[in-house]
Amino acid sequence: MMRTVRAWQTEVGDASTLGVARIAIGVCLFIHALRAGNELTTVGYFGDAFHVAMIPERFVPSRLVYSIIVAVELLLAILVTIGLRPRPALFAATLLGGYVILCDRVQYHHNRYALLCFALLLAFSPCDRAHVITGTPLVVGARVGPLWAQRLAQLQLSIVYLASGGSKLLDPDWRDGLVIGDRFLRYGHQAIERGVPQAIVDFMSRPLVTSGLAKIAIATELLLVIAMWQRRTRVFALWWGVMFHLTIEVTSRVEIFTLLTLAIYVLFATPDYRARKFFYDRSRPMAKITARVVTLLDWLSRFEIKAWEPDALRTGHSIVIVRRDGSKATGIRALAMIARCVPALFPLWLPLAIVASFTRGGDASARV
Amino acid sequence: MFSLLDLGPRSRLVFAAAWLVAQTALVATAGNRSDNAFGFRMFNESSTLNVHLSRRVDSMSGHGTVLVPVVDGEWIAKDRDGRPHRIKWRERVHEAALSAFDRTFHASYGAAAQLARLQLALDDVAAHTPDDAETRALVLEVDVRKNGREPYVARLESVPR
Repeated sequence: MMRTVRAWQTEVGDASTLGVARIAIGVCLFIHALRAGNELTTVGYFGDAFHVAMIPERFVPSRLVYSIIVAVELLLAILVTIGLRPRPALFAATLLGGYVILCDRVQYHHNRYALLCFALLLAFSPCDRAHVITGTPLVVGARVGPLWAQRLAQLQLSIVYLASGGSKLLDPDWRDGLVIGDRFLRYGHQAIERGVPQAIVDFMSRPLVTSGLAKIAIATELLLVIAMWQRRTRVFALWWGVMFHLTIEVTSRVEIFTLLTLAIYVLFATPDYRARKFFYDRSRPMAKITARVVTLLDWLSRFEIKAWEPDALRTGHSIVIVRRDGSKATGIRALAMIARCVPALFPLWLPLAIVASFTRGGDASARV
Repeated sequence: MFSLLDLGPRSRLVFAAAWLVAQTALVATAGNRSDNAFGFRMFNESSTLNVHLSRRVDSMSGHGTVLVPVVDGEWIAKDRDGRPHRIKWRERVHEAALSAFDRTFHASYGAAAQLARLQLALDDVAAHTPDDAETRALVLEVDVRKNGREPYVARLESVPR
């Protein structure tokens, strides 16, 4: 135990994934501040109306001060996103956001509080080592930093899942499917209006089915607590979690929670800068398009992308991926590899990997 | 600022311990707060509320009070000088979930949280309508349906005016 704590205290490593998470959190902070500004101009200042302050009323800001706070929050969010003094900006944004929640509990939402928690933890991390506007070169030395706060942010995500899944597990209404069943009953007509067949909605609304779905949801949250930390289960856990959150996103209104959670998922990715190679045949339009897409979406900088001139050996493949271990993949296996490494394409990973597992070709070590 | 954020190994341990203790305490005690704030209890219920607002005013007979229904959160009342004023609940309560009347809506943080907030809003409006010298109290009758169970009626009354 003590050895683990000491290792955590002194762990140093590649902090490039923190840069990606920082940008996403900056966007979340910006969306949040923009919403506050919009409410200020359209609905009015909360302090002039009913609000529930958790601090003495004399500490609630005036309209002018609150307007300045919102403007500063917008500015800080921009600084965080572009990477200009992002750590002090994250720290200040957390203080201001926390202060506003203390001034009006009516504005409290789990996703906003979670955003502040992660923003504060990232402020203590070397999230300013990559993806910054000042253009710090992405050399190995510049990307390295202490990772204790990153690990704490990862742990915080596990706490969120444990609290959410645990409270559902302890609630008989949730366990037995009453909560999910009632949502189906009340919102099922909306699904039907959007083209979902009545029979499917009726089936999903059955008590036995809703009970099963409730148990899957609870199990998902509780398993994610553990599975994301295990190397062998991590990629599947992350994929399952992504699908879980995307499902929530399309069926519920959760503000920035999906983006925030997926940003923290990035911290579980192994930072391996340009550890894989992506070769493409520049004479083929589809290969060029694929290379362009991967270049645009490879936010974790996992591929070294190079064109090759077709020769006798490489003929027949549009793209070839060279994995970390030096083995090569083409075709559907290459696409599965790309989906596994590129965050925006990650939802496609498991379907592609399953299809690829049924194909005979694809491992091209002998051919390239 | 940077030195504040760059903690040494010992400070990291203290910070992390304090963080985890605080998070554990907040999560463990979330049930004691009506809105489960700081407890990450996502989608804790699937409950609906239907809120009906009334005013308690003096009876025309001069004995006791009667309840007068309020339509869509607006009513006309006279001030101390007898001049009529249109009072609007939404001028005081901006939050949409706390100013929806006579229609069923989802209580996103659960019925208990919504009822607690409605009680606070009720007291707040009662305390901030100086142009209404007629209303003795504001009353909310709330049809509550928790997780699809049989509905029940919760009755909330503001502090006397």
